[in-house]
Amino acid sequence: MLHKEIKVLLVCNAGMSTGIMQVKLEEEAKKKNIKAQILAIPISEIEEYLNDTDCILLGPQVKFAEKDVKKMASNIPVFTINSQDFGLMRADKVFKQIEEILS
Amino acid sequence: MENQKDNFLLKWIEKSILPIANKIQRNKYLQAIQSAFMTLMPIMLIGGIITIITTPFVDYTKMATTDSMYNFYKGWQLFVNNYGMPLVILRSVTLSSISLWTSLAIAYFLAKHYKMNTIITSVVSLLMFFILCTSVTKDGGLSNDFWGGEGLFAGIIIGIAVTELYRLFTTKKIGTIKMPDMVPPALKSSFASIFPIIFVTVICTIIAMLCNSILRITFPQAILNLFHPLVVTVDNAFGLSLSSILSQICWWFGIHDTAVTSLLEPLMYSNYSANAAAYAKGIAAANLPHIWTEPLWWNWMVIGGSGATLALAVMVLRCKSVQLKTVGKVAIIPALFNINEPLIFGLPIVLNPLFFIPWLLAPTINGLIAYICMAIGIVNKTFIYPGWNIPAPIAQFLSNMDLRSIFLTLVMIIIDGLIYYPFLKVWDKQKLEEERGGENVA
Repeated sequence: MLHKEIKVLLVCNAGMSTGIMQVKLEEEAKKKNIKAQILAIPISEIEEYLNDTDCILLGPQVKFAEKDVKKMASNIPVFTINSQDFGLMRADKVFKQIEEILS
Repeated sequence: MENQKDNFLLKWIEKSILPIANKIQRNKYLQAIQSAFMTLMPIMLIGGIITIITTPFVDYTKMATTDSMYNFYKGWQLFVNNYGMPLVILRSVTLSSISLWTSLAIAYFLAKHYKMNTIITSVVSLLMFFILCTSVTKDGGLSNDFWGGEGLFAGIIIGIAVTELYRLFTTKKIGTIKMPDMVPPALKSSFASIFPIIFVTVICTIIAMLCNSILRITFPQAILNLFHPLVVTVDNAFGLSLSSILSQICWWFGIHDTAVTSLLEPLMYSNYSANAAAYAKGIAAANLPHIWTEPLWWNWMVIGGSGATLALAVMVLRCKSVQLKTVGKVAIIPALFNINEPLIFGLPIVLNPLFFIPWLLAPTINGLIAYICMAIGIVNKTFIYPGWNIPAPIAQFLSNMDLRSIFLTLVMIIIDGLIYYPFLKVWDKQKLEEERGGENVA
């Protein structure tokens, strides 16, 4: 169980489709009574947000940038959302993954 | 679910395709260009709206005075003539100055990438744009003839080259004035930029002089001539189809298609801006110079998202398989706004051999239908870009202010549906069998 507020960065090309995921993850956090700040951003702006996040999730369509982002993020955990989970917008599964990584 | 063949394919993609995609898409110049266009979209939309307001649909001087609409169009034109000055100026500095803003925005995003001083870099780039892209009218005034679509290639090059040059001079400290330690840092940095700015200015001035005196054309015209063979090769129905297929192949591999579209963006924006300028000059919307524009691609081809999946999203809702129905419920609302990642990754279309053919075919067929219909005048050519996430068929209607567009769009959606239907049917059957098989075992 996470007690402090968690900050999650969702990254895709324009921040549009991850925007849907953002809303779903926020609902999920509310359900679980976890304070979470979730933000969907376009990949070109990622550098601005690196300093202020606990983990970074990439949409499957920008998986190609995973190595680059990992390098930039150094200590912050980075992973690409499973494409089925992303397609079906299964926020519960994605949220579980976030919790596992941060605990 | 993943068998060995899938694993092999995935590994191959990870090893060979992803690094290439990364190189192209994370390219700093392409990213700056893409960010620039994305940021400027609202400004250009305002320019588009103003273009409609300041250009009556019909020229009243060519109408019969007995026509019931005569007074309406006359009133409209007189209103524009008498009170429309601020609007005409606004149009002139938005859509008709697209190159200026693009150049400025590219310099800004590149400077941000390099962690340079963004405002001074942008201003320097803007100044160089003025030197290189402004001509003088006969009575000595400044002319913005090349600030619109014609100057777009030049504007992009100026934004990139000036930023790089300025960066070179500042990082190598060429011409930096050494100040005593007592001088405040802010003052120091403004002094430090004086000589780099002078150097960049000298270089651009010389280029402008050479163009004018030796080539006897303006700099943007020279750049336009340079790109002309490439543009002519790409800017046709064949180039459109090929680009569509390439971008669809990217998506089929699960990679966002910016690698293709960011290269097309300058062409599509310059054509679009040229069309808007022609329309503002009074040329009929059916006779505008270009067919392949920003709205042709984003509104007419990819209806419902890349792959033209609006019809598919509706059909998935009516599938028998529970899994597919779930996908449909997630996918339908975003699909109305042309976002289709839920379909791409949920159905899935990515790496699914079954959907490869319709996926490539549907948007390409849309593109060809729209291209031909605009070429022979069945619908108007496009001169407004309402943005890519406006729902069909509103977006298509707005793009050329032609009511026939609504009908044509509906026809295209039906055709897309027919293209996807047999493949979806097979997929639904497969999924249903999987689900039933699973129940039996349990």
